[in-house]
Amino acid sequence: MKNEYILEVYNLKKYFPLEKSFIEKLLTRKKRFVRAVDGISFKIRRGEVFTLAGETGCGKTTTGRLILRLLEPTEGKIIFDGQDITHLTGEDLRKIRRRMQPIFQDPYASLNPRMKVGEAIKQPLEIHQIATGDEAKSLVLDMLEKVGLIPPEKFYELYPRDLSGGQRQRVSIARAMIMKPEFIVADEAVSMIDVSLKAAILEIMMQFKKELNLTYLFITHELAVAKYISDRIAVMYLGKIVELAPTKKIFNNPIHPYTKALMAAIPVPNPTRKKKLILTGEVPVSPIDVPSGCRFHPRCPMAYEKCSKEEPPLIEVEPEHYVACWES
Amino acid sequence: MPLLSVQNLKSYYILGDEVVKAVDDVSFEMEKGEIVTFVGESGSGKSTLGLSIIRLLPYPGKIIDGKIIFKGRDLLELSEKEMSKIRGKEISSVFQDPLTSLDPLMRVGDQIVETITTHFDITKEEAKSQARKYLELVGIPAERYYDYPHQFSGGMRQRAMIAMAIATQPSLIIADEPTTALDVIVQAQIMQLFRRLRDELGVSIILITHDISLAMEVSDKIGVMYAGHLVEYGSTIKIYEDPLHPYTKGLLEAVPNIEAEVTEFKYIPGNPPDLTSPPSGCRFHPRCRYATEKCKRQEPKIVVRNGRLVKCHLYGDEA
Repeated sequence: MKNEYILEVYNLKKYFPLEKSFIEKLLTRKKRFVRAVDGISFKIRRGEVFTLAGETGCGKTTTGRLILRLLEPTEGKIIFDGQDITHLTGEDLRKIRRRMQPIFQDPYASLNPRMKVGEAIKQPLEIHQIATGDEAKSLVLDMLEKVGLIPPEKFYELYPRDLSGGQRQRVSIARAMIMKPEFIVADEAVSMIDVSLKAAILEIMMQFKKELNLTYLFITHELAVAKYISDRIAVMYLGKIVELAPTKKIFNNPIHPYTKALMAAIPVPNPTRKKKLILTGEVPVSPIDVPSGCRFHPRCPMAYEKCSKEEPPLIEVEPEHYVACWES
Repeated sequence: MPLLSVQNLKSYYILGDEVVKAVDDVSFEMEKGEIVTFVGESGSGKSTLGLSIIRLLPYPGKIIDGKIIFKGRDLLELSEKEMSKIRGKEISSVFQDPLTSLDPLMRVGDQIVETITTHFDITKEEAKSQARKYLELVGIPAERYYDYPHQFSGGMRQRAMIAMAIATQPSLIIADEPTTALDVIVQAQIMQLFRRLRDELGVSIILITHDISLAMEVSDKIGVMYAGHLVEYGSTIKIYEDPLHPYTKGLLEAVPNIEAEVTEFKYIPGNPPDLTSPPSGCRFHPRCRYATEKCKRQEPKIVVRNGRLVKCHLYGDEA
């Protein structure tokens, strides 16, 4: 029996110790931390697209890296397909990594500039001893065709520098998909792609979802993009999930004042639309000294006394719709 | 007389025998007090256009031909010395990353004072009181005059840049992707600030962005750039209600819209062209759903249709 949830995250935390200057080290003993992810829990159903959305410094990327086990969590639990992978190492971790592939924002950074595109896609097949030689090459050619790099024989021989940004991201997708993974962590995968091509890349990602019965953790700051593909969306603010709901509900009925502010600020290609209220202030420069109580209270138009003292829990306000706000 | 009239501007990057025609025969006019946005994707030439207007094209970029008439004077006819009196004073600029333009070792207020005293013959005390006024105007409390740039958040730094840009009382501000590195809430604040400055000071603004939604929200006029060509130029409302050029239509369909009911993925097929060897005829023809034989052979002329400029064979050749 397969687990309903492919991924479960419980009370996940990641604190980064802050480097102190020499004088500070002499004067203070207390270690200070950046609380990048500060106790978040969620479950991702098999076959869904689950999105973590938020602004710079909200902890969405750190969460993705924790799940991929590229970072060690400070606290909490990560369960993949029923198995606790929080502290997995060595061969066991490698087995999990085959089933869980990342796609990152910047294909310039994740592709080796000296390796031909075809070789780059073939490499994981050889590392994991799935296929070699001609068999591997024909798998790669198939994959190039599926991601729209046609004719595949030509693209096989090219180097990353010969490709445009959109084409490079197609290569990253091919490299992830050739492993036939079950779970993809896509961190800002289309953020750098020009708007005329964004939907083309998303379409390829969704075709693979169908074909391989994939589950996606989609990480983005672009809520408008998230709307196109997500089944559920979690909005993060300073290391916490403030609202989590199915896509329709969160767009039609956003409840957390931060979610509302975020949606109001997103530009819409319509010059006749009346601008809604714009939130003042900014996300604190770094989440070192996070505000007491609800982290959003210093910027919140609805805040009252309780908000500065007690942290609101994430509670279900209607079926499947969770909000962390004392007002809801 | 328009504030700015750009006529048949050609700015190329010349690398040995490779020529990148980044801005190729671009013409438009803008009036005083307008916000005009040039929108385009990477490599469309929008930034080159902005840098050409202030004559700050980096090597190996060169203005090959055309006229840039600002307040009746052709900027391309001026000596570098005359141009430097206009640049930073009558035309100021705001770039994507304020950290590259702010001096990290100098107090923010003093940097504004320096800008003011460079261009106006006034005492330091007067300049200081003006600097405070400009800080307040862009939403920075005057007591932060003595802060250094690193003490400011990203949004505050961009506000400081804008304070410097308006401190010389320019007629025109060129803002190239001023909010691209900022979060969306701060972006909305900065855009609100630009509009307010236009309303209160009457300053004209050229905004350069890849984000057509942003362009739609803030500007009076929009210019759509594709592969070095200005393919459509006119009033924002008209372009929104009835985009003429197939590329403009495609962009408006492809842009993720938070308020739309999403049913399918829409995008423009193909890839943006390599500008060292752009497609023949209309540069958009390989990606255009309406392309005909003529589009492959012949570059369309710019014509006036429905109150705007459009460069497409669908609208004929007659001016």
